[in-house]
Amino acid sequence: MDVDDLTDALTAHTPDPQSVLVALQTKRGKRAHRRVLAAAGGAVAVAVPAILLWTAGLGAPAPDSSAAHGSAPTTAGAPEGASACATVSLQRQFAEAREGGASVILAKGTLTGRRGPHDPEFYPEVYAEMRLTDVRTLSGPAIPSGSHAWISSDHGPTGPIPGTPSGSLWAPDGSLFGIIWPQSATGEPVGPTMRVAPVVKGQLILSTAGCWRWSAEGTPTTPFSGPLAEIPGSDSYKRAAEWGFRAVPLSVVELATR
Amino acid sequence: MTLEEFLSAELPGLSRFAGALTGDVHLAEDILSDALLVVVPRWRKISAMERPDAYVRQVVINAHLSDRRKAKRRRTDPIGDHEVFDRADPDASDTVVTRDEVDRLLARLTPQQRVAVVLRYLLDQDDQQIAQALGCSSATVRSHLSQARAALRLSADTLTDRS
Repeated sequence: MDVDDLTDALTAHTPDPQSVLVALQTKRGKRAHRRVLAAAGGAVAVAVPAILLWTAGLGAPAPDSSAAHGSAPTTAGAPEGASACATVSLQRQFAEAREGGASVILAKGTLTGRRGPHDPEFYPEVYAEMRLTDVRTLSGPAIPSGSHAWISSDHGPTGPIPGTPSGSLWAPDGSLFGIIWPQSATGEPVGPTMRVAPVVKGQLILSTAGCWRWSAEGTPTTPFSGPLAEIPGSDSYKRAAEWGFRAVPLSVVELATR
Repeated sequence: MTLEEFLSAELPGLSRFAGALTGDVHLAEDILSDALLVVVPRWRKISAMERPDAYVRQVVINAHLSDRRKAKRRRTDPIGDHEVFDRADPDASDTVVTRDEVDRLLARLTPQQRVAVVLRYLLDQDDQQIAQALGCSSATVRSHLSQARAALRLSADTLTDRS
C-alpha cells in the first residue's frame, strides 16, 4: 500500500455536510426539548402580553415590527451550503409523523407565558409553552382543545447557524399547523413538543421557521409577505424572512396528510 | 468570524476528517454533529481563538475517541474474521490493494493509531501536533504510527518521520 491508497481510503467515507447539519439540527432539538421539559415546572407566566402587543404592531421592538410588515426579502445570496433544513416532502414528513406516533393538527395557539431556561452564552434557544384551542386533528392521535405543547426558537438576530430552523412562527390570530410529538415518541421526561407553521387565509406559510422552507419542492407556491407571530425576543421572523416565505394552499397540505 | 462563515469554509473539511477517523459515513455524520453540538453554543468563545478550526477538530477527535470507548463498553465486535481474509490470500504483497482491503486494514488500527494516521497523512501534522491532539507524548505518537504503518503494510517511501 502507498500513501495514495491510504488517503483515497481515508477520504472515501466523507459524509455530506448537509446531512451533518440536519443531524445537528435534530440533536439540538432533542437537547432543547430535554432542557425545556426539565425546567418547565419552574417557569413563570409573564410573556403573553408581549406577544399580543407584537402581533398588534403596538409594542414590538422596531426591527421585529418592520420585518413583520415588510415584504419578504429575496433569498439570493443566502448561504445554501449552511442550510440545515433538508428537502423532505410534506408527504414524507407526515408519514414519518404518523409512524412515530405524532399528531398533525390545525389549531389556534396562544402562548401561556411559561418559558424555558435561556442562557444566550451557552444555550441560544428560547422556549415557550403554547395552549391549543380549536384543534382539528388531521392525522395521528386526537389532540383535545385546551392541550399544551412546547415550541422553541434560537435566539438573537442571526441565530447560531443561518439557514437552520429559525424557530416558531404562527399567524397573528393564532392559526397554526403543527406536528405534535408525544413524550412517548421523543423519550423526553415530560410533555409534548411541537413544530409549527402559520396558517394565513387558507394557506400554509413555509419558511425556515420550523424548517418548512423546502418542504413543498415540486409544489406550486406563491410568495408571502405579512405579519406573523413569534416567541417574543426570538427574532424568528427576521431570520426566516432572510430566506423568504412561500405560501401553499392548505387543501394541498391536508391532502398530503392522508 | 461568524459561525456561518466558519461552517461554509470548514464543514467540508471537517466532514472529510470525521469520515477518515471513523471509516463510516453514518458514524462520521453522527460524530461530527455531536462535536458541532458542543461547538455551536460556545461559538463566541471559540471564534475568538487563534485557530478555531484546530479547536473544532480537537472536539471531533474527542467525540470520536469517546464514541469508540463507549462502543468498546457495549462489547460489540465486528463479525468478520480478518485472519480468514489473510489466509485466503496466499501472497498479499502481490495483491492489488483495493479500497476494501485498505478499509479492512484501517479497521484493525486502535482508535489512537487511526487518529495518528489521519492527522499525519491527511493533515500533514508532525509528531508534536499529533501528541497534543491525543494528549500523549511524541514518543507514544511515534509508537502509534510505527505500529499503524506495520499494520497497514505501508511501503517504504512512507516511513519518513516528521518528529
